[in-house]
Amino acid sequence: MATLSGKRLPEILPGGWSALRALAALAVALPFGHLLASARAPGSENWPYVRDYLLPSYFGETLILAAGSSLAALGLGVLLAWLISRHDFWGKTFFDRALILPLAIPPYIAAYAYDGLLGYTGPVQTFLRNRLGLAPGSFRIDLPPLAWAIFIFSITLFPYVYLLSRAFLIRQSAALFENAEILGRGEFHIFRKIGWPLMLPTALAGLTLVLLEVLNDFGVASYFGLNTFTTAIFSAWFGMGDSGTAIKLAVILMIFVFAVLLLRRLWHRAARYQIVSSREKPFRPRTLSGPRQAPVILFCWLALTVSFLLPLAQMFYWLSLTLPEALNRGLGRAAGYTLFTALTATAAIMLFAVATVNANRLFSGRLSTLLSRLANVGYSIPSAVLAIGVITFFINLDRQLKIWRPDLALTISMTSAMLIFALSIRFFTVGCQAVEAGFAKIGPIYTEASRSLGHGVTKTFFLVDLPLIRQAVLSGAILVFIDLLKELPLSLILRPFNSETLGSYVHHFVNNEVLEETAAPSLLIILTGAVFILLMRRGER
Amino acid sequence: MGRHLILFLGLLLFAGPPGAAHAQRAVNLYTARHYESDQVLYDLFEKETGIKVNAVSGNAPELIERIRREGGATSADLFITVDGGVLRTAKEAGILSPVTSEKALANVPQNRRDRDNQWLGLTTRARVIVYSKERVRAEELSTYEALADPKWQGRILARPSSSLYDQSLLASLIVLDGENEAAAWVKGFAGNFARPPKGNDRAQAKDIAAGLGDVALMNTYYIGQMLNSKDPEEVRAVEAVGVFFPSQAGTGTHINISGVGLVKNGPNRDNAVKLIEFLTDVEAQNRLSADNYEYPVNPRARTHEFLASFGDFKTQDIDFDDLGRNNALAIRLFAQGGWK
Repeated sequence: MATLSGKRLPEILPGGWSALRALAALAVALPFGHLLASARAPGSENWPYVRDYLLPSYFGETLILAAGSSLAALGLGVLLAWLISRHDFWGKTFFDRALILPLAIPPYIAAYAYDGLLGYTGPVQTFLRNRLGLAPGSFRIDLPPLAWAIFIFSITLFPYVYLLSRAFLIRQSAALFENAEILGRGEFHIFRKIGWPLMLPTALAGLTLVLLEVLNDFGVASYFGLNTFTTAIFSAWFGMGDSGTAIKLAVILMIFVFAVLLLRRLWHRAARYQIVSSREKPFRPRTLSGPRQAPVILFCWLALTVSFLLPLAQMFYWLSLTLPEALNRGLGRAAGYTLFTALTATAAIMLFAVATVNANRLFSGRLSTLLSRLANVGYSIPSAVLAIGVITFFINLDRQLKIWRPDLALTISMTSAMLIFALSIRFFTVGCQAVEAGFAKIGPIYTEASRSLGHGVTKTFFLVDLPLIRQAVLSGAILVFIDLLKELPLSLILRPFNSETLGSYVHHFVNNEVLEETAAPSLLIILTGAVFILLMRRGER
Repeated sequence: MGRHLILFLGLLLFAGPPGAAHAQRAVNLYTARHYESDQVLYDLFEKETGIKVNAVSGNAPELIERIRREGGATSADLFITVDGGVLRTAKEAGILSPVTSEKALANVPQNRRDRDNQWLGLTTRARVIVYSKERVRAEELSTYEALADPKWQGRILARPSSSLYDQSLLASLIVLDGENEAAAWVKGFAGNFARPPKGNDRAQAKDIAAGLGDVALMNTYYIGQMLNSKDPEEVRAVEAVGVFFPSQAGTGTHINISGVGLVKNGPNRDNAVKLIEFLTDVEAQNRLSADNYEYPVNPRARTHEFLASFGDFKTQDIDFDDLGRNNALAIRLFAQGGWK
């Protein structure tokens, strides 16, 4: 990210910016430190067994899952971005917006939907059996669970790659492609020789988001019975009651995640060189007319149908089975509570994200690098581990409170503060990235101009920086909000008495094996997310 | 501005409203049972006694861990879950204390509660064999152990061994048959799989109807719930399977228990005991069976007619503690025997 040139400010300022940044870093570090300190460290009885029997399969399945999902998402995202950016065709604007909608579907809900859709009692098989009179089970898609999980992740997460690749392609200069066209090269050749190498660093940056989601997923892996690190941490900690083994596994997972974050940094750096200045002529898409546009349109339809319309349709079918009882007070309360926690956490995240990122660009140095790295750790901690860390931290906090107010029992840890705190830690990185992108886009010149005119850091921020990055902050807030809507394990473990989030509500029905009842809360998550995604896209235009 | 904000937030924390957990007439549940029928009972209890039931639901092991960490300051009064092994884990974690209420103890027979009365059973469920009515005759079935026979090669359906239901079943077989026999059983049983383990209990019944396999293991209440499903196809699927209570001539059918434990440091002990008495009493027990197709633990309660239609059956004669004691070993045997 661009750092201000010129006069460097002292490393630690008494001002609020550094304080807020330090507070964010501290907030993230505290529960985690607590956890490490409280974990029974070495020599747990299960560890040798886990290491010898299970670790190889954890490694294997996690690697296959991560590699498979990210390659599939990469292929799909890049291909769609290329087709849509390079061509004008009927319905292009529609597809450009609609193909991001799968981001509104939590992967675990897509998994339930596909299970319902293609399962024995689903509409496909029921139709074949009851209408066409085929023998039961004569048609089925029999993929191994790992392949199913890869499919689910690629259709729900490819928009990350698509979004970045598409935004990148729009900015490219006409010269790049037109020269190749003049030389008589075909479309495939241009993609392979120019488009692909050009897009790769950007696409890979999107890919890291996919990887992080996959590595941290619990819902899909546990539904398909996969042995990934996340499910293993869960079963070691909660199943075997062995926190030592769980922490060891968590540390291995975190090494994975840090590797991904490192790659992202490298790829980001590579991608930065390719931004072409706005003075160049932007390239113009080629217009496809008549039947020549059919394959492109068909492919876009197919992608949209598989990734969004089919799961949605299945949910509506289930909703029809469960109406009108499904629309009850419990659902309303869950929706209200989800809105409350998600909005509060979004506000907290964006406030601290803006403060942290701004502090980073103002005061760069070893300490700031360390602090900002620290603040991003939340994304890399498996949710189950984060949850226990936050609980431990809050209970200790409550004990401290008790010294001053002995009449109180557990005060804070019985409120939503704990959940909101954990959610904020978890998705802090998402907010930061959006703000960083916003600052990177405007560069340092406006801020420097304002500073050289004698305005202070804070005044400059409110007068100059904030209006310029407003859209980035808003987009970031929406991304964070959607992530919070979809969140599952944290809300499951940390919500206070008598409270359900939409995610925990869905999980409750899955636990009881009544998938059709998941329809109402799932649709609320998906449709709310979809509306916000469309809003975000509109704001960006 | 920032300093004022922090000061303000700090004040807010100290002046924070006392949560529902500290209201006078309340009882706080940490529950891993989340059936609609349970909520109906809590509402009824609240209406009868004026004591508000606050519930937080979640996965049992996480709830235990949470109560353990909350320690002396916990706000949990009762811990409710669905597996004997897990109940033992709660006891071992030192978070429970004995129930002494004569009334509650009279409601629950000795073999349906902890030997120190740290938890009391609420309902039981049997893990039975379901089979294709078309392709299997009931006479071909006998015991769990017999399903390891090569006769069933490529015909058995199962869910992933991460399921507690199968872990507890295997734990019971470890107790009854010994570790070596149980290990051999896993190898044989897993060797007969028609497909890699997949899905939940209901999915096994559906896959039998789909003809993917002929035999599977299932908890009794899922069968009842499927017969009463809102999805007509699910009803038809379960109608295609027969129900067989295994090992009747031998060690008996595996049952598991759901139960309630009294949390040691809970703030509303009296109310908690009242709720235990209520949940084990005939009326609540009738409802638990009627609404959720489970077997009541109170012998005076009515068993749902769907369950009653199978008649009385012989159950495994083992200590529910053993399910928990052998859980880790069971997980290990699954991994070694190739049941994923």
